[in-house]
Amino acid sequence: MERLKPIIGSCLAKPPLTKSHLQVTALNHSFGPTNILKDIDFCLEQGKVVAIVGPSGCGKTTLLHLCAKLLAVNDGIVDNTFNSFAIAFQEPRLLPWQTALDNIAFGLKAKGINKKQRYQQAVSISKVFGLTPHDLDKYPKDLSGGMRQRVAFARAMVTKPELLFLDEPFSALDIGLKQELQQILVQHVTKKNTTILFITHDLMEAVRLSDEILLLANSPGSIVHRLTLDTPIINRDDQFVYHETAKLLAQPKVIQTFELSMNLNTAVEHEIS
Amino acid sequence: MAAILNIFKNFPRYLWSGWGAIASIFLFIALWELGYQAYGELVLPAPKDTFLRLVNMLLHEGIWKEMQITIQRALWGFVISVTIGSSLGLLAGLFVTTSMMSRPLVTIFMGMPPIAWIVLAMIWFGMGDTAVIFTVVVASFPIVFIGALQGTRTLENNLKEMAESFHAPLLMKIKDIYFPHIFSYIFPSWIAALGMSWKIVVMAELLSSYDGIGAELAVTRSQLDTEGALALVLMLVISLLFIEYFLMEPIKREVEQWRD
Repeated sequence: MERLKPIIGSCLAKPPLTKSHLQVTALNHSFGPTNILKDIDFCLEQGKVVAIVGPSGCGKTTLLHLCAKLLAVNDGIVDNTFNSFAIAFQEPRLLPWQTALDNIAFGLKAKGINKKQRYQQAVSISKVFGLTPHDLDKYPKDLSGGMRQRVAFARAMVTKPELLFLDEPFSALDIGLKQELQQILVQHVTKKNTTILFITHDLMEAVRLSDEILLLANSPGSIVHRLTLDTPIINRDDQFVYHETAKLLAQPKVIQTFELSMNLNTAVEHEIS
Repeated sequence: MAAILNIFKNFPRYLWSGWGAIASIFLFIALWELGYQAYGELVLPAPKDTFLRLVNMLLHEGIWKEMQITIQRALWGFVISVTIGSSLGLLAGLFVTTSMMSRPLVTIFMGMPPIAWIVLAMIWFGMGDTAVIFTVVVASFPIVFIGALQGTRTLENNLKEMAESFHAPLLMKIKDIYFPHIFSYIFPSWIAALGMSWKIVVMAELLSSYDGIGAELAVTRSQLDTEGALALVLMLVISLLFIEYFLMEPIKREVEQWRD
């Protein structure tokens, strides 16, 4: 039980909570002999956005799957008191044999909401994400990558989740589309006071969208740096994002985790030779 | 229900798109006529005579009865192979071991020439219905089996995970995720199996039966009745074209419109 005592990143270290929370304590995970995650501790309170940042293959997605109960927790505690959650995956994961409208309504159908109501709700949220009625009749094959991701977001948000898991959903989008979707998401989330666990390998994205950034290092994945950003998300401009990202990039832990200096040195050596 | 309605609604437009196909068929008939003029009646009877003979067969020579027998056999064979092939394929696909074990067996089944099966069937079952239907089943069952097996094996974990993240109940997962995916593999295999049944039934009848279109073909051969033989072939081809383009294709278009 030694490992379970409250440490940094614990909700319990702060005054007692009446709000919902996602509390991860001393979480370890292995696939066979390979240790993927080691001693993960953090707390996500209602209305907050926590970003987990790390290089590819550091166990980010595994951590998200554990939090979302898509994987069984073997070692450690994941305490989730939120009533509902939804996931926006890295790929849209739409059902190719259903129209955009049916895809958006998928989560509502799973909840047992009748057809008329779920279509109504789906149509109304689709407007928020910039989808036209014409798009809603299309099958995913006839939608562009960006459109598909909009549908995937709408599908996740239409269920009005208290907790939203984002698994690098912006990574395949071009920069303009990325910003637009992030903007829509920020507005929607602020309005509904949604809590987000956000996974990304993009530091700038993390700085733009989150209240707390946890840096996950590679093999085995463990949190090596924590950063809290106090400026409200809605008030962050490009200046702020560039400035904070630059500051973060200067951190030795970040440099080490992303193997930045090594790559730079090699580049310089190449240049010299 | 909406799907069936759509099939009927889109049917006229689909028919209208068939002009190109009709043109190419007429071109084929023109080449046939050329062949007739070059080689003479015994080798290749004129298309016109063949068509007239076909009409005559249908009106006066009692070919309907033979046709009915053949259709019945083909359909029985088709239904049996679809039932067995789909269910066994699905079951085999559920487990890695069974799918690995069944692969080589299916290859053997597929690789074995139908003509060899006919010989065996004649020894086992004698002349008649059973031998013909058996041959049809043995030839078309592996096609359906493979389709069902691949459908189950290729179920995507990504979509399953997505459905689980929304806590979709099992019935909904089956209806919205597993079934459409598996069906998209099984349905084309059914069409292929139907075409196969149609061809094999005639061949099996020719060798192992006293009635049916195949047996009629054997008679025309023994009488050197090229015109009669061609008329029968024409009948088979027309009926297959009819099933393929008027029944299967419209259904396929409707159920597969989500495909690239």
